[in-house]
Amino acid sequence: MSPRTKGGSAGSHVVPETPPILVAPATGSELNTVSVAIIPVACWRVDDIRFEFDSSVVMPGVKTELDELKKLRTQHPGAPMSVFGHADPVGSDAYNKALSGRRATAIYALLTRDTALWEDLFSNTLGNDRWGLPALQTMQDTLDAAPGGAGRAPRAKDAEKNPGLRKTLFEQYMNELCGPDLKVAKTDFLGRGADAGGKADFQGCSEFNPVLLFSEKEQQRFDAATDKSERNAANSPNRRVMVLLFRKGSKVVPSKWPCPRAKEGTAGCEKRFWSDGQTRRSRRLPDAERRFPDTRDTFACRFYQRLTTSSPCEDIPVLETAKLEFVLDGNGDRKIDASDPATTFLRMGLWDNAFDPPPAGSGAGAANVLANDVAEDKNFVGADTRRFYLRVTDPNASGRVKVNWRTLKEDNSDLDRPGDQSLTLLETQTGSSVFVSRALMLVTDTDDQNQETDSGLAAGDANAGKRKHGEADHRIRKASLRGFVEAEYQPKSGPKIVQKLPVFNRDPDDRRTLPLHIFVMRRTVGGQGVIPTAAGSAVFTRDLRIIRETYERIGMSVTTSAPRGTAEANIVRDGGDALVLVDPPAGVNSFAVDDAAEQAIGAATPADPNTIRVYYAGRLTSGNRGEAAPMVDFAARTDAATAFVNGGSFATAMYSPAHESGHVLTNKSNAVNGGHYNAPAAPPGNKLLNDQNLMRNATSTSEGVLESKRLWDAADQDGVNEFTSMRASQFTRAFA
Amino acid sequence: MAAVLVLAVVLTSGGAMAGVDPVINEASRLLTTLSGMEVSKLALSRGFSEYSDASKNALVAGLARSSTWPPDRVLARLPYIATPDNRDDMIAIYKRNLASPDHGGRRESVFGLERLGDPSAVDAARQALNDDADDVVVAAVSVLLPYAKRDESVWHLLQDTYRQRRNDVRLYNSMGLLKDSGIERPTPPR
Repeated sequence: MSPRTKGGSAGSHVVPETPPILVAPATGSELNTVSVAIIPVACWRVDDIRFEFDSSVVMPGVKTELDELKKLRTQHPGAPMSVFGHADPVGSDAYNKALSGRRATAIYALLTRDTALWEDLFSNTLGNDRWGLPALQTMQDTLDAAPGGAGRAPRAKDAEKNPGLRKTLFEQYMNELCGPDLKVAKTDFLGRGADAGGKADFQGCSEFNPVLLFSEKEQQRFDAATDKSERNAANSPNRRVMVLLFRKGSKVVPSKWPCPRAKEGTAGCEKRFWSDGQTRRSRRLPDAERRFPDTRDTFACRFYQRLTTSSPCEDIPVLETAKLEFVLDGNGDRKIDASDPATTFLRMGLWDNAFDPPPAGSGAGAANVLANDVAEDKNFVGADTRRFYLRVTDPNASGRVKVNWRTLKEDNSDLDRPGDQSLTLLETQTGSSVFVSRALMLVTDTDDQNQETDSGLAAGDANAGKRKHGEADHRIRKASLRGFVEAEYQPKSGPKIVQKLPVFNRDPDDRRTLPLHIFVMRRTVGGQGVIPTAAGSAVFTRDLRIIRETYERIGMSVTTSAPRGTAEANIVRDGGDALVLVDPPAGVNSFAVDDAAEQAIGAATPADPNTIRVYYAGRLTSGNRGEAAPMVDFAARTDAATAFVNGGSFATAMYSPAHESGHVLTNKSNAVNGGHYNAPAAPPGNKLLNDQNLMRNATSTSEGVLESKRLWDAADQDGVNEFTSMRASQFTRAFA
Repeated sequence: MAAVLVLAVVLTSGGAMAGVDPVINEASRLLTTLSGMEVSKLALSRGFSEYSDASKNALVAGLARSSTWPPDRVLARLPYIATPDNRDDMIAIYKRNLASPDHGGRRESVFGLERLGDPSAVDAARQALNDDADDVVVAAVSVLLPYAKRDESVWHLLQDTYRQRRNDVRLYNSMGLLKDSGIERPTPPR
């Protein structure tokens, strides 16, 4: 029985006893010639998953299989080896001959530490088999992750341009994979390294010797599919590299070895086919697969079949499936592993640990700064209480994997699908098969969406440093609370895995609805509004947008409506939204609205139940850009639960409508810090600063990431938690 | 804070108030409150009753002697701290700030004079009709429209202003206010 590992198998063959050889006496110069068949005594196989897809790049996970080879060589000391690469039946014979030869070459070079062969593979591409920077990055990552290895290896970017550094990187990577005890001399191979092209030492068998042939039915289904990933996964058992160990003392004369060299064409192979070789390797049964372990009749090459007909390594591995999850940082340590919980929904980022006071010496009036370092605890995404992560568990991958992620609208169409959606997930530790991303965040507005994020990847990584929206490893997506977040992982074996989660919990529905009436005062009775009100004007496209972006961050969807009974002539509609033009009541000047006027206006325009009224006046006599009447202070008045915005400040008071509505929602008394947010003093080092909070006294006068638009899920100095108090307000209702 | 700096100038230049620490301190706190971007409705409706009349008077007197331009929000809030003794100083503040480089200061000064019932409000409004800032012209029109309904010369003045400036896109509200008020009629509505 062969030991099966994640990426291969190894085992000893049943070797028939050599029969006694009877020799007749010779005379004169005549000699008896005894030709002993070469007989494999053991086998070692590396599966497709230990290579990059459609590539000869050897992945670090092969270390597990190399340990098995080491044991096998101990069991069979002095057994010479030969390497056979195999491809699957997709593509031309010639291409697959070359690719299978390249994989065999890569393994031979690894065992013999022949960096020149790897350099040849690196420098000479074949189809998709391009080593390039990603291969070097894999090597660097592997070496950096080794105990004491951080920074020891040449940087991939440098090695890409410098052959000398590349040789060093290859050498270190080979040593890391094989360890000190597994270095094979070229003379330990069947051809003893005598042939410069490796004849008898390593070769590619193209697609001539499949272990698995799909049924006609399966093949038709795969042919019809646009996405070939499932076919490719099902075909993976055919993509393998086999190393056979022969009886100690076996020797061949390379020139007489029947297999062509790795770089030669297929003609030499075809000469060794069974007479029905083409049929053997291609015939399909209507409803059943043909499997070599069961029928021993799928190899075209008679020579190879003789060597392996009873080999325990020519089995068909059961493919282990990969898993993709969105996870949360269960214990808050910012170190995600297999133990952190998967989540069934995601929420918007709050930017609640995002800002630091300006550095000492910045001078008066300097703005707070956004924490955007590589370290997670010093990064606004990595430190956010709503951060989440992507985790892949894939026994068939190693080092790093890529996941694409995007956001969708309610109807599943794309919302934020940047040019490059990919995200790098690093293996938690070598061999864990668990890969995790850096923290990720959802946002509601375009300023936040376009904020650069540090990728969180180590210096020297191709994607280290600040990443823009549209670039790989950007960690932000704009989302809708009616929509979804989707991630997609393509394992090397198995179909593409897609995970889609809702934004905010839907079962039970954690979202809320915030209904508003928006009024714009007319300049005079029957006149125009004190601000432009046509569909498409700033009251809709800026103020209402900001209100929505603000409250979607805490899971609230804003709706607008005219109070029941409002004359249609007074309503301006823009899509599904509405505002109401309202005459100044008798004795009220729209440009001199004071407390008494607000009560008169409130009395003239009653609201539907539990609906906040937002008014745009021409001018507030208070000099405020806006003012509100929360229930805690004004419940008995006709202007209770109203928010007034000073039209005179309209050009720069874009956050005022959201802010004043916030006063009604938090219901914090005017008597306590004016009802405003009051940054907590504790705990030391907290980042819940006044300047970026929507409810500070004095909202920002321009839009941006650093402006006063945030709402946080933490008690302020006065004990008011914006997230919970706003969502629990009597002015919100079940999501609809 | 800029407002506190203003007060420091105001108070240190006022020899009569120097050394009256409790009142100055209270006036300083009041100015800080009035300078806030947002003063709550509750505080406004209570007329800042937690502050003494002495501190209100001291603040207004200091501002009247100041050579700096207070923010428009401070000017807007002065009527909320009116006492029987600070009206004249307040009027002086507004008259001076009719020339403020900040259009908000000019706007609040026109409205302030009108709110205090000072006769100079009409002349101030007439002058303000020529201002480049829409909100200042709105203030002027707001003050003058009630007079125009009684005095045809004011009505014609407003008509002239409208004819001359109605195509100025900056004057969205002021010209709109005149139009909505029927300024194109030959005589004021009765």
